[in-house]
Amino acid sequence: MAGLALLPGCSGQQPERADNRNASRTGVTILVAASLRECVAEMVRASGIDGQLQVDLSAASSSSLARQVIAGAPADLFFSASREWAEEVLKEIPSARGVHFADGRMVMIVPADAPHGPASLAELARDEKMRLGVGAAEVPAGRYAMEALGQMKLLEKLQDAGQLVYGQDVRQVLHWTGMGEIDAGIVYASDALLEKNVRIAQEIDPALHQPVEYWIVWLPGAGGREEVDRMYAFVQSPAAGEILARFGFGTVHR
Amino acid sequence: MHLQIECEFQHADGFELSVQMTSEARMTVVTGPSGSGKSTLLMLLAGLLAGARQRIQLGDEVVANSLAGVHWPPQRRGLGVAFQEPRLFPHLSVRRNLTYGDWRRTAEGMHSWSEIARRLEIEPLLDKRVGQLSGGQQQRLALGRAMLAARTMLVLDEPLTHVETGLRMGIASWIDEFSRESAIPVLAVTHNESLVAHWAGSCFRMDCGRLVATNAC
Amino acid sequence: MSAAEIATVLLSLQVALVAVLLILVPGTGMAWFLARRNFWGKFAVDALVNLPLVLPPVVTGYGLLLLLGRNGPLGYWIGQWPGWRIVFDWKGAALASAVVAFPLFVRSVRLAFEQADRSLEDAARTLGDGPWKMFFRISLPLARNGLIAGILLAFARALGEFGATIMLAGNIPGQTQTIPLHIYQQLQTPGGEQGAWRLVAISVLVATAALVAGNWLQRERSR
Repeated sequence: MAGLALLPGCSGQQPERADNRNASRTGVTILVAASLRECVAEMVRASGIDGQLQVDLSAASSSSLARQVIAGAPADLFFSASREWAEEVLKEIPSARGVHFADGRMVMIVPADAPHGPASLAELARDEKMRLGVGAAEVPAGRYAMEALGQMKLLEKLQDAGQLVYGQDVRQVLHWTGMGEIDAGIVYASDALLEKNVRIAQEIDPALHQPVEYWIVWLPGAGGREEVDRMYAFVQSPAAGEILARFGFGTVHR
Repeated sequence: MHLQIECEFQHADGFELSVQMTSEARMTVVTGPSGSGKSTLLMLLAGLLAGARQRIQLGDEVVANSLAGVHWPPQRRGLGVAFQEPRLFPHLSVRRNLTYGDWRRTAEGMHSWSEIARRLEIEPLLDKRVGQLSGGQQQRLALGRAMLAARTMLVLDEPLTHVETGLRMGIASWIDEFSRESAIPVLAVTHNESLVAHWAGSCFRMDCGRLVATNAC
Repeated sequence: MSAAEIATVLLSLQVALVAVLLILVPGTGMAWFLARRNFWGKFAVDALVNLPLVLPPVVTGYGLLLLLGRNGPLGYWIGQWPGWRIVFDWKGAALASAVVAFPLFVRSVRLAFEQADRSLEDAARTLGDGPWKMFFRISLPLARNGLIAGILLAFARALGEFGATIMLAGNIPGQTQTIPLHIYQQLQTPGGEQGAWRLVAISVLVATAALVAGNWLQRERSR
């Protein structure tokens, strides 16, 4: 809990280099799922590969990035926020290799300025006036939240009492909670840690829902091979695990 | 000067033009009621109407012959055309409208643009925009523009209808003079009988798309 | 404003301006073609030109990516030129913006050509102008307001282009991250709203300036 609540110190601001506009193929191009961007930027810095050559991060949704890779866009590494898209790339590009390096974790958040907010989902379920935000059933985060609530035997009770509020995506649940529009929400820990207006009230046991897998895919791109290999290895190292934990991701134990 | 026009043309709205005319005169006038096909004939001469069965000879040159696949584009025919409407270019000044097709490109001499501007009394207007001109001024400008562009023939469609009454006959005489001095023949379309009399030369009368009289004005 | 935000704004302006330049000649030609020519299959050409208007920009971007990626027919060919890159490059951002903005420009200019007084063009022809000379001396100046409107529309659309750009050029800060991509990224980052608002304000400023300049240019004519 303490480790999770710690806000990433040097994250965010301008991790990427903005100076060299002439993209040279001696640099490394990393495609990164938007939800992983800050964390990957931090790992690039920690690995030290950006000292020797330019590292470009391009952030978008995992599906867009995978399509870019398959269409032959010049990239070296692909960080996917979903197992499906990583596997799709591995299937289409036989010489690529990939590994599941991190897990997403779900948490219950409450507004930061609500000291008497619910301390747990069980407590929230007991007060029928309280409302809980979750992602819509179509988005993965919504599915995971429902699965967990079901396993905790809280889902029916919350649904019957009309306590559930469905957001378009996690981001919306995060906003609503930050603005105090709802009493609590279920989101990814990694998102919760970056939003100042919310605090984490309860961690949800990852065993209660399908695993949220983050993958790194090594691509047979051109240039900077040694650095790419180093980054690929670094992401799976204990040092990277520490960074991942700081950003709210769970590491994969081998 | 030899001008020969043979044409058969069927307009989309059913109007039919069928004309055979030859003129050796310096001043040729085509007259007739409105809707008789006079303007269509000029369009054909200018090269602005395709799709007609036509043979047109201007001087020694056959500029159109549909049987032989000859059709000179308008810019090659060297005509100076003053249309029934002034057709002035709104984005250009009076001066640039006047000299638009000026092939002599000189400001001095008998048929220079400055001389023509003076004779048509548009000199004081040269720096205005065409939108600021009256109807009569616009027609005089269009006339001057056509005169400056004419190499082989000056073609006039009702050239003086909007020109101020006090100026009309003076300009009519001067057009005749211009034609004689520069050896550029004139083909004019008008139903103004006094103009027809003034420009004595070859005269044709049209009605319903056909020539109904030759040299009978 | 941070240095990175300034770089983003400058890059956006560069991308939008180059996109407009890329559109100018083919767009004007296409507008003329559609306004003045009747030919077999005109309907299909018209539909093709307007396709980027109908398709979600992401799809347009994906199409360009398939065409220009390493495995694409054009991409392979471009790859033979050393140092030339479209995918993940600002040139790709400009191209994506140009394709998406193309129909807007063509529509505006085409309308101007359709509404032009054809009898003035005939007059210019009899005054000695060949087709090209007539086009540049008469048709184009008369279509001036439509042309300015088209340029403005295309510029504004290019400045706001998101979907096709992120697909073809990626989202690389300092290289392909234009204002909309930057805003998107800020909104994806919890607590990034502040930076997003600054760029939104700048977008509004640039768009307003372009609009005022366009109106002024259009009024110049009837001076």
